[in-house]
Amino acid sequence: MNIELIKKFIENDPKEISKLYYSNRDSFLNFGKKYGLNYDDLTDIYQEAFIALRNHALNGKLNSVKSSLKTYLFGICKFMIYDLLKEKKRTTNYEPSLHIQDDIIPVASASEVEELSMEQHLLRQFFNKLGKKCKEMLTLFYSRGLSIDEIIEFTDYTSNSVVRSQKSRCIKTLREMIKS
Amino acid sequence: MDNNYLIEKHIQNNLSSDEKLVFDDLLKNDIDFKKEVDFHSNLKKSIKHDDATTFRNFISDLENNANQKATRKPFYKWFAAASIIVVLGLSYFLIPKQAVSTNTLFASYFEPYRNVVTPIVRGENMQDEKTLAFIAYEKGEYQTAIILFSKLYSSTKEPYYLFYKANALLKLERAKEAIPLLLDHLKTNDTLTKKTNWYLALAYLKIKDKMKAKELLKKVITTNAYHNKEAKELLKKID
Repeated sequence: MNIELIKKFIENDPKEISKLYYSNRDSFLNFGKKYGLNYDDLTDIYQEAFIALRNHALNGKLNSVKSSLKTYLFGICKFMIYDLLKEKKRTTNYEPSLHIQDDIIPVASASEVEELSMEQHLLRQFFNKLGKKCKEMLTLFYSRGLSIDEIIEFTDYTSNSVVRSQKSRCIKTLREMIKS
Repeated sequence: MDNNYLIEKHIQNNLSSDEKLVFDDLLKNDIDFKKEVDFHSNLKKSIKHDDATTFRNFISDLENNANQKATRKPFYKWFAAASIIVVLGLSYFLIPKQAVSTNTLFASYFEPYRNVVTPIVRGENMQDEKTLAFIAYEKGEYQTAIILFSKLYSSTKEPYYLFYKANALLKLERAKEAIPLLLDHLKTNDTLTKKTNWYLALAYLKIKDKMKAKELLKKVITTNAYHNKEAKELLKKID
């Protein structure tokens, strides 16, 4: 998929994300109507699918996908519609129009947020007390999967060594919070 | 090879097979190294969790905004709506009154909220407690689900367990027990809290507290929350 699109998810600029979100929403709601699902169900599905799409963008799954963003996103939506219909009726007949394209292999559970242990909960609280710069840096590294070199590309930092020292300073601050 | 470098690559799932051998060996034999790896792995999980939750809340806000825009209808629709109200108003005098009990209303509007936490994926047999709890919930084995949700809530403090436990209790007509859980759930910033007021309204309806039920339904309507259309309907039906 277009690398620029994937970058948008990594950068996470609210304006760009909302553009992406709204650009396919109406056409999905229209498309989804024919499965007899209500508005709340469909908007729930669209939200979940969009979150799954982001996860796929962040963990590199989109890099090798050839279809457009819309096709891919609708692919995920179709999976979710199918699951929901199945859940509602227990037994739904096979719906041929829901047949899914080959290069889309989304897993419904991809959008799941992993549970945290007590220790991880605490870490998360300390993390939230860090300054904006540190939070940004650590998020890019730990959550969005960027390497040190890639971080240079996405931020104002100019060199590998600056990124590294900033990152270790942030971690040091975090460790000090834990100790105290 | 530098240990920090190895950990960094491990965090990014980027170790080559040679590096992996060294890494595994260190992990087994060097306690300090293992501690360090644990720290960074925990940090990764925490930050991922934080990032995912923030994103989820952002998307949920986008959806609410879209929802609010959609309900601002053009003027002529208001006119149509007004004429329907007039007709309904007239029919109030023409049709003999039927008192609908709160119980019947509860039964016709309540449906346990579907599982969005752990979608059960076909052919995957992850048998952890969380999955078992949601399988029980989906199958309608609410007794079992309640026990498992309680256990999971006390060990993880994840707010959504409160919400699902309350749903299961409501289904078993144990509204009194469900209410405190829903009230607790409202205090958290779980993404499901936008749906809580609807269920809380139903819970109050079930225990015949019409005042509170109405108050919450109004809240559902004014905040344009989950099931606001149903809330409007239901509000009309409660006398």
